[in-house]
Amino acid sequence: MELTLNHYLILSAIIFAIGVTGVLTRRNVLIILMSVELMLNSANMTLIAFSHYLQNIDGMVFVFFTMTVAAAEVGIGLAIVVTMFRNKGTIDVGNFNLLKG
Amino acid sequence: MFDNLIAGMHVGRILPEIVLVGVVLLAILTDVISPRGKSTGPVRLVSLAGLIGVLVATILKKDDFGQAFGGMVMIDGFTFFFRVVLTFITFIIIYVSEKYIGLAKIRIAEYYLMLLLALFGMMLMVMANDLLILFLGIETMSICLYTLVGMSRHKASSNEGALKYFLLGAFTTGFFVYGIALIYGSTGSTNLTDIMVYFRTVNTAMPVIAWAGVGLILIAFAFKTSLVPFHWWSPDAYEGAPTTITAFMSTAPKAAAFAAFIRVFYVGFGDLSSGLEPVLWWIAVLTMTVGNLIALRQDSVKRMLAFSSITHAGYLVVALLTWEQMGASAILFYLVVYAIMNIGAFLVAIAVNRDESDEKGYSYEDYRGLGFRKPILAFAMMIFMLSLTGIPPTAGFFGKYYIFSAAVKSGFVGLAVIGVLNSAVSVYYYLRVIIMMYLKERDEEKEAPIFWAGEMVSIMFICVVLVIVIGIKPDWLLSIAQASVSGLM
Amino acid sequence: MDFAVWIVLFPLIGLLFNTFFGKKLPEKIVGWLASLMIGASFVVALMITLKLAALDPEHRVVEVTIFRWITSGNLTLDFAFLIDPLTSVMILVVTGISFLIHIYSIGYMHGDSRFHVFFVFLNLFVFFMLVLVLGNNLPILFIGWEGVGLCSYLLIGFWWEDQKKAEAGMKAFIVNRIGDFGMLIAMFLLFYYLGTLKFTEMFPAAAHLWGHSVGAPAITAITLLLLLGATGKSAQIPLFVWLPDAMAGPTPVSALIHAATMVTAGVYMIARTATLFMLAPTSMMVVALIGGFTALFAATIGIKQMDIKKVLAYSTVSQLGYMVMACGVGAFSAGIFHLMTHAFFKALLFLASGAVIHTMHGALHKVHDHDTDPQDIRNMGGLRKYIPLTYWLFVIATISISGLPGFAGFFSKDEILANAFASEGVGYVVWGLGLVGAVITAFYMFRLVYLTFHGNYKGPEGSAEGLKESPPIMTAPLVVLAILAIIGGYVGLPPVLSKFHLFQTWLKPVFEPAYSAVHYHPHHLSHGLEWLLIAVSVSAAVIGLFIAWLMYIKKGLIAKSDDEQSGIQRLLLKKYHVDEVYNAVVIQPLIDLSRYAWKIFDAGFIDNILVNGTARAVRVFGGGLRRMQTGIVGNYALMIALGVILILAALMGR
Repeated sequence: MELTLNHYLILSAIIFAIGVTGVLTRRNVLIILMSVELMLNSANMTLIAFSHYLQNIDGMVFVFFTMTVAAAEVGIGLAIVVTMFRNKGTIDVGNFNLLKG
Repeated sequence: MFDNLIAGMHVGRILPEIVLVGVVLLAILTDVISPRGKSTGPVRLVSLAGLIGVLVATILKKDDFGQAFGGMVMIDGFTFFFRVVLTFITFIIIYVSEKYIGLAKIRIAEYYLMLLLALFGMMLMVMANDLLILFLGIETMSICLYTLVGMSRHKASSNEGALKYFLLGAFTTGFFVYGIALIYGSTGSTNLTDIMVYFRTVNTAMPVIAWAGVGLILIAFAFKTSLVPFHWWSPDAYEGAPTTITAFMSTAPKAAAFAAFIRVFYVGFGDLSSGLEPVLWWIAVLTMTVGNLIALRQDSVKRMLAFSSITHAGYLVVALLTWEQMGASAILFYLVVYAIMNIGAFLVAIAVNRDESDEKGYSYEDYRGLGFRKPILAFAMMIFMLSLTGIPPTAGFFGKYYIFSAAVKSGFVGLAVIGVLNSAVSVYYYLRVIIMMYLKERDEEKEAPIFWAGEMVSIMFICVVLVIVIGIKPDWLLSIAQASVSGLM
Repeated sequence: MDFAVWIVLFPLIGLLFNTFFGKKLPEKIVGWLASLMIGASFVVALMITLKLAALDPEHRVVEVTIFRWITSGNLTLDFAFLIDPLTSVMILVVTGISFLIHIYSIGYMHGDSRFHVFFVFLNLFVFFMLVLVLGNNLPILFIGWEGVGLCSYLLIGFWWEDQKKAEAGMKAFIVNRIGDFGMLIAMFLLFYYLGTLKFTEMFPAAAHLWGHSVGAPAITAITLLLLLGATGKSAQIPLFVWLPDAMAGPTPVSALIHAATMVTAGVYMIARTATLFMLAPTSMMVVALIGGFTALFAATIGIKQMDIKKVLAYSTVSQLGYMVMACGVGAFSAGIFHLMTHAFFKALLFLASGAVIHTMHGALHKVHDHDTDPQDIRNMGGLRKYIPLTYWLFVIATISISGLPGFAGFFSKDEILANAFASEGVGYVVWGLGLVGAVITAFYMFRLVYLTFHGNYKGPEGSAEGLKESPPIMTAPLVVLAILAIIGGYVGLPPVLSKFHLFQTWLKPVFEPAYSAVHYHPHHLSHGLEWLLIAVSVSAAVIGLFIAWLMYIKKGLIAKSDDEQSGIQRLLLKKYHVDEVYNAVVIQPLIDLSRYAWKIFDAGFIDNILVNGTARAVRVFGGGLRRMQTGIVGNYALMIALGVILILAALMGR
């Protein structure tokens, strides 16, 4: 069986859905972060697949930027998690509801 | 050949951004060479001087319009307008902050550096003619904002606001990138001009995945401009953030996001307007109404302003929906007016707030009898509240007036009616502040000292004057706004 | 006529001066400066009127541009004044009455800790009121409209120590926003259809657009929305509830804002946009009916009030009803005529009642009685002996408002009723409403006079010695107003008495285009019929007077508190068999109607269901939405995901 564009797209859509589900169901900040990474990477996969089938380099270039941004985001995220942990002693998002209503 | 390539890139057109990056580097250097713990003052001065440099560079380049970097960015009147507005707002926030960050115990130079970098991100957003640049701009801005919200490290509310903003922001980034990927896949490009050409030719038979891409990008913008139902982060982040940052976030990044929103949807997706109309219609109605109704039930002025900021974004969507020059210029006008009155209101809130180390604070009760205690401060607040309500002769009235008349002109009478009704409801919570100030007795035992800083007072004064001046003579600002959007369509 | 701009500059100078220096200066200087500035405005208004009169009638439209105001797309508006006969009447009334009330306030507010603030607000009010009546386009009118509302709200809540007063201010503001909502939408629609908001361009354009399709849905909707605005400002059914509560403010404020000037803005607006209303016959009918019903209902409510200012408040609502009714039957100049005479006698009534309250207050203060309400007519009585000047002034105003011949109110009210009778459609109905209203007006006004000034003094023991006339600075303006309340009507003699109706002729160029747009010719009554109508309305007033006299003088009836109200009936039945007929036919139905109307329209329906109910629903809804903001990130993410699904479904499912 030959791998077509659709296969890649469907696979990336599935991974994206897994990422979204992870964000929605998990309460641990670190796992939520990982799930976001899954979403971003599935998008990267889509970009690369399109790039390949369109014979156009733009998509590949985009992926480099996405990866960089994702790394920066994780850096900031971890910093916030650390201060949060210092203040509250937990990284369970369910415990953070000082601001509401 | 290489020379030709460089010349074709028109590097000179992004001179203001180049200057800004230089300023950031210089500010970092200043931070390093200043004595430990005393670096904020020098960094602030460098930043302010640098922002003046950015303004000068912007004005120097005000006739050098056109694309640069092979169509990646677009420098036009629209970009010029937002460069000036955003630089001004950042300048004001940096200008008023020094004493406040001492009070809020965040005396670190990164506060200013992050503001400058956020400005850089916003500059990218307003000139982006390619989804890649847009993505980079949004992310640069957002990452700085996540940090800024969490600047008060010792305060749990600040941490929490930052965490919520960050998590939801990252979540939406996922949708955004996926949307870009789908658009790229269906149109073969990330350039807005190419996308427009594609949509114009295949308008009748658009593939489903292109619609999905458009929808996902719409969602990303809805998140950044805090439109219902993607607004959840904004009240919490606004409340947790240091108040100067709240003032910043509710004005500059919102303006930048709307600028990019306009460019992407008017230029890139301009031919899809009829398809997007029902979705945006509902978003506008929900955003105006939900923000308003929740703002009614707040006990904190800061949080009330946060919810009211959602409502104001709703009014802007009404104008966006018109898909016409009149609506776009009304948005630009409103953004400027909103920035003036909102910054003014937040500065008064800072001055009146009882105790900055309190996790919540900013209670309505603090305003009790302020009209007799500090008549001038109370007067300024009254002007800002009236302007936010949209009562003439204040600038806010014309902001709403232009938006709703643009809407009616484009046939959205229902939206205008809902909008005017909502602004009638908003009287209730803005007026509550005025009632507290003028119609409630002072309770001298409970009064906390007013936090004064010369910079804040001067900016407040300028804001009051501008609100009234624009309220009496609004057309100069509107004609600038009109000239700025004229090249867009 | 470039000097016209000074009419708004004088109050502005006064208020700026007092804002900055008022606190340090003695009361005399603050008060007189503020008053003289308004006096100067009045002189300018006179000059404007004289200049205007010097022009040919058809050229009496002068526009004074102050600066280029808004340019947006194809909308160009100047900040400009429109000076025509209608404006001249309005500015004369506004500045003239304001001047007198300013002077009066110097005495009335004497000793108040925030004396200068009061005058700043008062000057600001006059400024906005002048902007309202002078503006040459709808947005300027709207700015003045909002500005006077704001001042009214600030002045109602002026004595802010009192929570009730603060709430009254709030209520006034919120109810008015409902009306403003109508105005704004109407404005947008007008711009949409006509492409201009300038009066001089708007009316010909409207006549051109709808002249051949009179009563088109668009123009009907626009005028009904404008009417909603007018009902808010001019306290008509269903938005009249705020006005009686607004009486919480200081009495000069009640006189100036809530009787003579601001509340008439709605009538002015209808008259100004007469062309639009003429193009929408259905709206005209609604206007007439709303005016007529308000005139009657508010009058019935006035019967039962015990607070001297509340009686006057309901009578203001009722009189405004007559003005609106006049506009509704196409007699715009009659409406404006009544607006003017009403300004005279109602300002007089309020200021005189202020003098009464001032007197009562002083007397009660002398005996250290702080529990007795100085505004309650049950505590008064017999004041005639102590304050004869105030008494006579009050009587003059009462005669004028009741429509007894020879006084100002008679001429204007009679003109309205005659025009209503002559008009087609609902003419007879509103005439009937107005006539019954006139009987009741005479009744409750004379009841007020009798209970306040006749009989025996019912205040606390020993306080009678403290009753004395108010200082000349308060009574002098009253005398001027009393003269106006007598002679003010002679500028508009009815056709049977004089061929030349000065007032109508003066305003004719303003309303002529409105009539010609729909080829409308006002009906003329025969002289005989006209005499008959005059006789009928005079007898209406006399009947009202007679009933009041019978009940409160002849039979010495005294006012009862609310819970004893049913006792009146017993009292009447038992003792005065003569009154049985009156009781059964007139009084009891009226009392019932009054109670019913008050319950249904004021306390029950509007307050509880419309105002409070809506507010409560909004609050509950807001509370529910607030709970959705749980603070938990997971919930937020879920909501976002749902939003994503909805949007994608909507877009992809196309």
